[in-house]
Amino acid sequence: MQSKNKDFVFSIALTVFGIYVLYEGFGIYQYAANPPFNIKIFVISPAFLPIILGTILILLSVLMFFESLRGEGNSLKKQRKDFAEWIKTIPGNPDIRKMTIGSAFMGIYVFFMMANLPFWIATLIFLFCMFIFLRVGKVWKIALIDLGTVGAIVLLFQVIFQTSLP
Amino acid sequence: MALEYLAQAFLIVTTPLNIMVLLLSTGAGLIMGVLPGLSATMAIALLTGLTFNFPHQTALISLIGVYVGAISGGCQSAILINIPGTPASAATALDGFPMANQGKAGLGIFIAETASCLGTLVSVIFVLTLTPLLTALALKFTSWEFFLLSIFGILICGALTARGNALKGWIAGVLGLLVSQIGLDTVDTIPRFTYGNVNLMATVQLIPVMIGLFGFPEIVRAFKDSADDNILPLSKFEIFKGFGLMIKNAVAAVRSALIGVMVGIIPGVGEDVGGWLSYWVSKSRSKDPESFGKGNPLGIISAEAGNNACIGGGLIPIMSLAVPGSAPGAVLLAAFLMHGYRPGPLLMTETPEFIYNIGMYLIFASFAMWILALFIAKGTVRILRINKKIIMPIIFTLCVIGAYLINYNMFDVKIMFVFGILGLALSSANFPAAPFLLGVVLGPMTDSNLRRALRIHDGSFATMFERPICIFFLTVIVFMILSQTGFFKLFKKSKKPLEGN
Repeated sequence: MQSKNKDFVFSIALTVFGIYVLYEGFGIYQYAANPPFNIKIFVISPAFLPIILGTILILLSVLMFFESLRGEGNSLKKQRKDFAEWIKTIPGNPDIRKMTIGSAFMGIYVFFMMANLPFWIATLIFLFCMFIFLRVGKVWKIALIDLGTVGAIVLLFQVIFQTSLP
Repeated sequence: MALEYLAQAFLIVTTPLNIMVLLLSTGAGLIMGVLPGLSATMAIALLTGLTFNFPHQTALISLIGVYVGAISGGCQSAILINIPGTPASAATALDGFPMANQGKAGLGIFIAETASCLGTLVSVIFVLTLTPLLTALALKFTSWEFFLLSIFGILICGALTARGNALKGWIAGVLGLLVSQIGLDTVDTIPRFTYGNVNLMATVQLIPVMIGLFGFPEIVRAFKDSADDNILPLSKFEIFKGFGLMIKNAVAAVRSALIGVMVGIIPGVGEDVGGWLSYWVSKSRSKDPESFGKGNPLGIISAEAGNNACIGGGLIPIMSLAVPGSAPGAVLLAAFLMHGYRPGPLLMTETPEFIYNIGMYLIFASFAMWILALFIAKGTVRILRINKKIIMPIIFTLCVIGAYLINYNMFDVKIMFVFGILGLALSSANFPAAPFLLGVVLGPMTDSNLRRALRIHDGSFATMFERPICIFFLTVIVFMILSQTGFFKLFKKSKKPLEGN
């Protein structure tokens, strides 16, 4: 995706996010204005800064939106077409596929494996799977690096620094 | 009397045990600083527990050593892999990484560590001599000044890091400020953006956000098949050339150190702002500002002298007011209390030798850091010679541990992952991560000071325009916005036809 096209997509996403911040901000203002807080003056309300920030975010995003349409051949229609074409190329792009699968592995490690397994077992499995997925060498070499790394981490943090690991 | 105290401190620090402890703690701090995700705050926090049973002076030496080491070590990963080991080194990466790509990683590290040493040494002079004067200046800051200072910091950072598109830097800064709004607000304890989650009520922790924003995108990008697997060449330190560069840029280095001291003195503003501000001043005063961001040695020297000088500067409000200048400073304050010292107005009456001891330990720690850093750098470069696809999953594991150790809470690890995904998305569109992080750091200070000032002055902004320091900040802020949005270029363009006529 071209830089201008990325700016186009991000400016829309950030504008939507800015509107959401404003919506939440006014919710906070109403919450603070009611008992027991009774903070009815807007500028001293806890909603003041979020609302100001939401407004600035929308303004800056709108500026970026118009910036992305500036220049020859950067019309609204072309940006939409470019984005649609980029979406179609995602499944066939090996880099995006590797980054997505790698991130998914890391997500599984953080959200599921560490919640259900002792740290050293979860890390042994995670590192082994990652090294195999990234094809960093032969299986024996991977196993050696894996064991060495987990051993060093446990030694450094649990034995020397006496901290408890997740 | 001062010389007597300094002589006593010299005798304490030069005992074999204390020298050994100093070297070990500074080395540990350097390693912690080098490893992305393991911060100075964490290093001091870990060591505080470990040194609890040490003799007081030995414990103080180890804490100062680890602080100096961790802040200085961050530059090595910033230069070698473009991931600042600590937020303080974020500005160093701007010129350090391009310099490493030019095959001058060794030279970059040498000048960075030398500038760090110089910055710390300059700050010691202020710790020992100008403490009362500088503390009086910092005391003149009211809520308006603190509010404007934080806005100024984010605007500078946004403009500096967005590579010609300040708009993106400022958007990143606003996003960071918004993230800092999560949790119970600091004035009325009203929940904001918490969605009933108890963990979110305690606000989003800085370290997991930092690890996610800076570490995660670099890790994931290394998974690409087309990722650049070229290992950075192991260049020599080029010591003579390095000293030559230091002498050539000595004025800028000392100026950056002075800026760092001033920034360090202001409570709540830490080493990261010191680095950015020094970098910005050097860039704006340079005859060749275009070369910044492309491997200019002055960029590295300014950032490192600035952030390390914050160590001494930050110690001044800790010792005189018991107010920490930064996150590591806050942990250090707790450590001082734990070892029986009472920082604050009574410190000079109760333990007058304390300030001189700290000054002497800082001098020794900065020299120990300089020597050790050059040894460790060789190891750091060797680590980077290993295939990135092996290193990056291991670094991710360290990032997980780093995020976890802050509160021993798995929620922080999840936050790190979420902000990692966000950081990856933002970096893919060239949004800089540094202003985002600075927004998160300065957000609570911005919010609480703005609302406190408005509350004191019955919701009126008028008093802000009555204070000279505020007017100075406002002028600089307006000037910066106008210059970055091309207002002055419009003025120049409209002038040209007149000249032609």
